[in-house]
Amino acid sequence: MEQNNFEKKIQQKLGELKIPPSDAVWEHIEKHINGRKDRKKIILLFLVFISLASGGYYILNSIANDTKSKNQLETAIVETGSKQTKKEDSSFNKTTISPGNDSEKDSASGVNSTTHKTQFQKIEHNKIERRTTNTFTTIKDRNLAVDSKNGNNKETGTVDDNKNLPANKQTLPDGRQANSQKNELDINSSAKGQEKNTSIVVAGIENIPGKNEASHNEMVIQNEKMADGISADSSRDLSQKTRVSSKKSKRNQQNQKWKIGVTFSGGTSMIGGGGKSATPNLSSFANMDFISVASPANNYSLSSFSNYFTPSSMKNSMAFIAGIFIEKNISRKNKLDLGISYKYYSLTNTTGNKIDFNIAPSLSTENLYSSWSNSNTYRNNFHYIEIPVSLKFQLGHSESLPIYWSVGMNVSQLIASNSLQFKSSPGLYYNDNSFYNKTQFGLHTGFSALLFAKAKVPVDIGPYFIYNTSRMADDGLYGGKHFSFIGIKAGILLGKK
Amino acid sequence: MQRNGKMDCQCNAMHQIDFSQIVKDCLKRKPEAQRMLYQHFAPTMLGVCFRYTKSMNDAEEVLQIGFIKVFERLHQFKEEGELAGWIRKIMVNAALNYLKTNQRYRYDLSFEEMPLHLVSTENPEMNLRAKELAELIRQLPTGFQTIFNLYAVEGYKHKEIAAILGISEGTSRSQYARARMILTEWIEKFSFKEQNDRYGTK
Repeated sequence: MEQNNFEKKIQQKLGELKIPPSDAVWEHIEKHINGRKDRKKIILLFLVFISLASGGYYILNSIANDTKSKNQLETAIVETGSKQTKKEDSSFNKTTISPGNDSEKDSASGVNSTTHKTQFQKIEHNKIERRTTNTFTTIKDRNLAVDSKNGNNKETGTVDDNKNLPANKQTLPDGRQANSQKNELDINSSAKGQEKNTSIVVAGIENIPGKNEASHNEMVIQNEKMADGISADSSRDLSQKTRVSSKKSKRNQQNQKWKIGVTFSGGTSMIGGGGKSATPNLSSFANMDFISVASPANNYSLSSFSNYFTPSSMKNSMAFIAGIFIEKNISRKNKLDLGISYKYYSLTNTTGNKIDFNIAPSLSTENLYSSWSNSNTYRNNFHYIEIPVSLKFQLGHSESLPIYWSVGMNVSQLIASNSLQFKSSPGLYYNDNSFYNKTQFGLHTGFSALLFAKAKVPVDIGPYFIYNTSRMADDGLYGGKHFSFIGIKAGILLGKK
Repeated sequence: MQRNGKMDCQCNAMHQIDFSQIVKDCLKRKPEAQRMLYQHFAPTMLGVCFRYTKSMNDAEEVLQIGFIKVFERLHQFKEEGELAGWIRKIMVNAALNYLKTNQRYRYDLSFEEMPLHLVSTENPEMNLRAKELAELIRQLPTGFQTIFNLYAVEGYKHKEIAAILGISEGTSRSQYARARMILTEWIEKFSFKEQNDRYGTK
């Protein structure tokens, strides 16, 4: 009974015990609760951003694919129509290809005696080789087919270069006339005594003065691999020249343009270098009299601390870089990138509770944390604005999935940080950005694969590494240390034509 | 570190507060309600945390951890029970976890099997204040302190304590007996000293 009385007395006595906590406790709790809200908001915003980006990308790609498939469908329809027309009209069974102004001669020689269908396919093939677009083929085919169906004596497929080819190329009404600006490819077809002349103007091919006819002939001959007495070597040379000059003109146009894109890199920021160890010495904790010194109930001052502490170790943490860039082809396989980005690096370490500002007026900061316990994980944030310059070199020859190696340098400026410095006696963490070298120079490298290279909005993605050659700070907790970043970089090139 | 002196007054003014409404508002994440709940229970709960730890700093850390859990798990609270009891239970669990995970306490929290002591039937006079009694309990070795708190103050059975701390029931009993004996001595000495001091000053 008496034993129970003892416990009851104890319970009664201790039931009266009420100790008002310090304001810092509620601040921490509030911060944690609000932090959770903020995290939720950030996650939500990130999901919205991802959804919008994915949606936008899908829409852009689907529009591009629709256009392609539409063109292919049209081509297929036209080809089918053309076949039917051919069946109806036996005049297409014997078609010849001639230089255009002398169809009779060619027909007589029988050099280009082949079916119309074959010609279509081969001309098409030739066009594809020259990297003309589907639209080009479609228009050509459609014109040919329609004219064939109508039974016209002459059908002319005109290439409209508004989209694909230089604008100064024009189609002359009479394709057989010697044209100083264009190469002509005439298809003469004769059926039942009627002469069918098809003239296709291939714009964008460099003119060879006085040799239009010959070059035209040679092109056709080479494409069809016909040996009609003309030197195969010379025809190949000319054809190659024509092709190369066409490619050059297109590339020159592309090279002159800067393309804009957005980039995002996610990964881990790391800290390295420096001779100072960031590993805490646990024995120093043992020397600390927690009851007499660390108790906030006591009105202690900095002078009351005699022990020296070491800071807790810094842990690598998340980092990301987001920005825009412009890109230019500096040669066939090399590119130059310039950009401006926001860079976020973070490191975490463990600290004790937040301490009232008043106890350490010498440290003019409100971010003051004890190191007497490791109860809190503190995130040291670093916000930079960065200007990266990169050179990208294509590895291999793949056009469907080009692989690039990029290398370059970057300049970044520290714009804000809440990172903590450390004072070994009395073992306090505090915020002081004056330690940092605000301007940082760095080197970066990475590999990337260009996904959807032929789509309207290709995505460049691959591993990425940055090393800041500048020291973060000359002194303090980060004295002599260098930041680095490793992660995945993704770039989306906008407005590719 | 400054104390919030106004807090007690605010707490007194809140005695008639409808806690079910506060809980509902807290669940809606209303900052005023969260603050009100904290202000009402924090002093009592810090008293609980104070008994389990060795320093005020640690007690505040436990309080902080505990209240974060309270706000995180408030949706689990059923209004059938008393809110204070529910929060207190969370605080005790937070304190025990803190002792188990914190390096400084973990080594002290060793429960060696001790020869069984008979529980003292002494019932000393307690001429001391609540905080003084709590300070005496805190002077006990961590193992004794924890078991004493759980048995004598929280009212857990030895079987329950054994399950909570992962020890045998016998260990819990023997440790409690030892703790009670030491504390009784200290209380007697302290009460006697206090009495003398008081008479001396008069």
